[in-house]
Amino acid sequence: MSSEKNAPTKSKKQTGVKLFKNFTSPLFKLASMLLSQLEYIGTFIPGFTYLYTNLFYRKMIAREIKAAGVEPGDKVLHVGCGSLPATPIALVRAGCRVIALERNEKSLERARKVAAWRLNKKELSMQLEFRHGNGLGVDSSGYDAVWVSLHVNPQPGIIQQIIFNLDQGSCVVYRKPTAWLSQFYPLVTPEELGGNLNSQYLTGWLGKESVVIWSQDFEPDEKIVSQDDGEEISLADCRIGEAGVITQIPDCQLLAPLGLRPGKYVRLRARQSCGGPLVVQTAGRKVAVDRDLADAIRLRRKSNG
Amino acid sequence: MADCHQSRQEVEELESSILLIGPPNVGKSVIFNYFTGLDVGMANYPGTTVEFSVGEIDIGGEESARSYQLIDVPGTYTLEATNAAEQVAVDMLTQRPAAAVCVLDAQNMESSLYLLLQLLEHEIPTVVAVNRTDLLANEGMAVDVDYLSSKLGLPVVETVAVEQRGLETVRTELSRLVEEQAQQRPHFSSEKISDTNSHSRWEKAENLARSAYYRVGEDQTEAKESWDQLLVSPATGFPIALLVLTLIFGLVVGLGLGLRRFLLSPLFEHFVIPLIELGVTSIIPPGLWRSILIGEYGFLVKGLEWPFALVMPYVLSFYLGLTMLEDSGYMPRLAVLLDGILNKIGLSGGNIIPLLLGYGCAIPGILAARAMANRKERLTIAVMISLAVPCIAQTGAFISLLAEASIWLIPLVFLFSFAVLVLAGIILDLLISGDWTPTVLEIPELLLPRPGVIAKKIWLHFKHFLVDGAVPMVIGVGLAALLYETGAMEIMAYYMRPLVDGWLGLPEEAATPLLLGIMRRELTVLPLLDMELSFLQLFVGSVVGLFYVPCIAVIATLAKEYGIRVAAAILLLTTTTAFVGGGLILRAGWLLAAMF
Ligand SMILES: Nc1nc2c(ncn2[C@@H]2O[C@H](COP(=O)(O)OP(=O)(O)OP(=O)(O)O)[C@@H](O)[C@H]2O)c(=O)[nH]1
Repeated sequence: MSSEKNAPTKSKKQTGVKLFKNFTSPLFKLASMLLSQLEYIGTFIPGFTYLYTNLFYRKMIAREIKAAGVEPGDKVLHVGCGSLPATPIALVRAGCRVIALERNEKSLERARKVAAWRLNKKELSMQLEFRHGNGLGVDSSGYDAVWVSLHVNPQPGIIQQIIFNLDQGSCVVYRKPTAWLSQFYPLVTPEELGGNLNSQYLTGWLGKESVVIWSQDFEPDEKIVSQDDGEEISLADCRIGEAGVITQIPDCQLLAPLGLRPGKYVRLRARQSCGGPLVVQTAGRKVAVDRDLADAIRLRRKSNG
Repeated sequence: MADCHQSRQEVEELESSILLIGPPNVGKSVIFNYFTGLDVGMANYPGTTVEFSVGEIDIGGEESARSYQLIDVPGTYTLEATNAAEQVAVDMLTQRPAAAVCVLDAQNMESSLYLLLQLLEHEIPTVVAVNRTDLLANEGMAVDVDYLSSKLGLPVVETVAVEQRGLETVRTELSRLVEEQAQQRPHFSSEKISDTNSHSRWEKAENLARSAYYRVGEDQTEAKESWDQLLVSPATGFPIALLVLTLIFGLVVGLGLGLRRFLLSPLFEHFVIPLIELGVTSIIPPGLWRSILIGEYGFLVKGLEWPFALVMPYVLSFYLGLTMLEDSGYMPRLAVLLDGILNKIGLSGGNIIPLLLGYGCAIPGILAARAMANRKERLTIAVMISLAVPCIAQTGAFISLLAEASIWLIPLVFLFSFAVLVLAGIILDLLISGDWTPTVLEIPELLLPRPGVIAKKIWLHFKHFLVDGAVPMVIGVGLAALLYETGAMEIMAYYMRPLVDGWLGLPEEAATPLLLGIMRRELTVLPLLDMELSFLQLFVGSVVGLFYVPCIAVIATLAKEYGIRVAAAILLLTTTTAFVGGGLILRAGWLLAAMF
């Protein structure tokens, strides 16, 4: 797909300028202010961090980490960690060394405290560093992956800059508003960012969608680009109505008797909202399978029909 | 229903037992009921049989008739003992039963045959029943039972359990098998079972299934499939779910209200009660006894009117609605739709089934929670049901109490209970630690509920209500009459005054429902009927009644399932929530009233 991978830099800059204007929207300012205030106040309520993280972040981050392919020991930058640094904490737990950037000093102070509750001393001193700074000027080279929060401002500009400076083989992960949230936040799609970016969408819930974009010239091995017959993909990445033959299933005793076994023909029937399960048609029945399990089920795609 | 359930210890001796084994939802319970004449629960979702049932089956010819114990083993996909139900099945197999009936699902022969192959490794004489062949025929397919029989060396019978087709043949084959065994000619499968790894077993099952299926006609299920697609896709599924639930709710309330207002209330008011009063006044002289029978809490007046005119209509209409949900196979679809949302409060979609059952009666709800994957979910469900899910008898009482005052109070109380349920879910998620089990749920085929089956199930629930619901209610009212007429009630009410009047702002007599409520949930509500309460008092009373002690039978069930300590903790939790919540609402109400 990437024969024209070097998109002209100039056009990228222009799109950036165009999108920039959206950020003067008062709705956006209000929304991001409210959200950061909510998170800030929330950190003073015991249990809130836990609940909030579980509710909004746990599964999303796990999926992002997997898609981005970060591994223990990788160096990761997080732009806009806010006062409730759920993402950096999850990344540290995944074994990464994390630099968390935040431009609001009050939030940064709070983030340090929250991180100190949730992580042990060793993780804190060896793996996590908070920095005060603005996303716009940041140099993204030297990192294996860069996470960009939804409410950094201006998100498109920052993301473009990061992609531009990204090392080969590294990627940027950002959260894109969908559905109702897009009323408040400007939409940044990989297409709009210009060039033939190599990207992948991960749908979350409550109006958020994660996008992973790899540095140019780089093709991650498990990514599905072509629609050719015989391509191996994960069940979770199938389109509704798409079918294939299972090549690999995760270790779960319940799957085999329900017709999810290697060599079996299955079709994706529906994808539930809110991170709910996928509905799969097997030979004799319909089965609902948790999204993470479905992610680990691999198929060889059959052309439709 | 309770008498046919036995604990594991009681079935130690299995020599004269026949096991009924098969995957979940294949129709074992229907077959069991046919052979034993008992009535164990059946429903169109996996996991109806969470506790195994035992009954008598007569087999053998005219002269050698003999009765065996038939055991309905919980449905299992495999015999690998991955959960409690499978463990029970495996335990029973190792105790050498006389024979087994293995029920296969005609639509899913592969996995059924896998189960059968595993069963045969235990070397138990087996009759194979291929059930649900009518549904397979709708797909234009059939199973070649003769082929299977010759391949497996076992008797294989085609059956349609709901139409009782083929079941007598199963009985005949069983007799033959048991007889042969008695003559020391054990009849095991001729199929050599040499290696027992799951891979080769799957291969064998797949080959058998492939050769056994043959086509007999056109597939007629396509229209159904496209409907189902709408039900399980979230964009259309949610609106449909809302519609279905609203319709069911409307049916339950509407039918219940109608039955009561136009049939049962007039019947009692103009006919039964005057008759009783006439009878009693003519036989018993005025005094204590007469008052106990037909006075304020008249044992023969309220004791009959409450259970039969107020509560029973809703019991009937609720179980009509529930049965339709159960037998159509819609419940698992609802579970799948809601799974994502319920995950956020630490539950999973499947939990919706015990919760819905809980709206009928807490006990089946708590028992159905056994089918849930882990202890955390089971406990959360048990607490939620005991705390804020009113049983249908209580709901009926709520409707009678509140509808008179203001129709808006009913949704208000229900919304409040939903809010508390969600809150309880979130809090319990934080408190109870446990693994998260990924959802893997079979979605059974959509079936049109059969009128006969519905009628039978409603009849069963009705019988159940008479024995376990109406009788305690009548006794409760009798007790109340006794206490009331002897003046003991007044003394108790005096001591409970600070709580009832001072804290909850209810009239002194409201001590009665609090005492009676321990016996039955609806008795916390019904006595409030004649007290002429204000809007706020009604709401406070309802909230207290909603959260207050689940009835004695529920506490006993909780103690049996989770131990005395958990039961005591739940008791404490519900009672405190009731009183604290009731008192706070009263004060909030005052505050609001003062503000406007
Ligand atoms: N059409 C058709 N429906 C059947 C047949 N046998 C059972 N059913 C229906 O299938 C559903 C499941 O029956 P149950 O008897 O509850 O199944 P079970 O095997 O006991 O299920 P578990 O207790 O969950 O293991 C019910 O709705 C029955 O009415 C059959 O032969 N044909």
